[in-house]
Amino acid sequence: ATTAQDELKRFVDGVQTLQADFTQIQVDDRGKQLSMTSGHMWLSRPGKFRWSYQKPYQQLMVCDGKKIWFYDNDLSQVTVRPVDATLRGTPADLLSQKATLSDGFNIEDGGMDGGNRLIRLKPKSQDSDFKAIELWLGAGGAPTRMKFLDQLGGNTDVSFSQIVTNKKIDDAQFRFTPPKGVEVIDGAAQ
Amino acid sequence: CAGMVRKNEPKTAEDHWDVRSEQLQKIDRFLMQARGSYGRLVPVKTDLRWQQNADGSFDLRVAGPFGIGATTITGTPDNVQVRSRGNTYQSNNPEQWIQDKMGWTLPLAGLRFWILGMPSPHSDADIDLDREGRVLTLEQDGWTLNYTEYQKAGSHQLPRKFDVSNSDVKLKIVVDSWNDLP
Repeated sequence: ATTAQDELKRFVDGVQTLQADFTQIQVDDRGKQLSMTSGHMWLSRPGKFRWSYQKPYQQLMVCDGKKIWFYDNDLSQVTVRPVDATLRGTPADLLSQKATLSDGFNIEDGGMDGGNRLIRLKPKSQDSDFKAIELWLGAGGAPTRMKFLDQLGGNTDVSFSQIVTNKKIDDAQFRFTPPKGVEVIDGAAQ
Repeated sequence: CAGMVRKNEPKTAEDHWDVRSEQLQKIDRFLMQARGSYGRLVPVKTDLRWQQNADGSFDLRVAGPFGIGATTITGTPDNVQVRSRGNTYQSNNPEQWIQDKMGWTLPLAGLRFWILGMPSPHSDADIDLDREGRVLTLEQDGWTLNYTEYQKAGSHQLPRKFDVSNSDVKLKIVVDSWNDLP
């Protein structure tokens, strides 16, 4: 049987591009639902992703591998920052990494779960934003679900559907031009 | 009974405000779920969840995308417990604690009233009203509030978009929902 590392490797090596619909449910440490959002995501290794929330509000995260843009339509504000600690360990950062994640995480095998392979990633660093990250890999190594256990005992559970892997994605998806008249805040210039 | 007949002189903004502020003062509990950004200081979208309880205590949760940096501040304006990154702190001066930790602070005592679109009753405030007697701008305790949009919430008109700023912090807020109103 393949080990967790093999599965993870199959994912990192086998899935070069990925796009899917997602639904994200956030609960607090008492299991009370805090929010439910949904949208679409695109990813292209190494390091590029587009995470677009469509409901109940519109928000966008775009990363070209060097910079990350956050755009909130209602706040009519764009913040842009260099790719650094901001999103270390988030689905976007995790999914687009080239490395097999073993440098930043201890990898635990969660065995089979509903036809998917559960892999638990425990951050090695003490001050990580997450206690653990759970990754369910389906056939061909594509992720079907990701769960982020935050430091307060709550979690953010992202499930993917309409998953398409290794289809060419236009590079323009990973570029972002702030709309006219929207305030742009450059986080790097702090 | 002439007293009964009010000539229909136009209701001034102040008249509307008198009625409105009385109603707002009765709101002793609510659940506000919002998104905010602190501009230059924390240029990442933040989820803001403020549960105000009738006994004057509150549960405030702030978290970035995917729950990054999730922090809760619970208690009363002068005694709070802060939980962040798996640690718990106690403080009788939450605004100072946040300032020391984050380098900026949140006027929690004032915000409890400002997010409803009214000044805090604990100090003087300058307010400008719109024609319907809703607060457009508010200055209090060294902070300036600009309300750009209101929304229906139960029987009330409560803020949907506003910003809170002082000389070094600007917090922009969009309120997605108001619940648990009396």
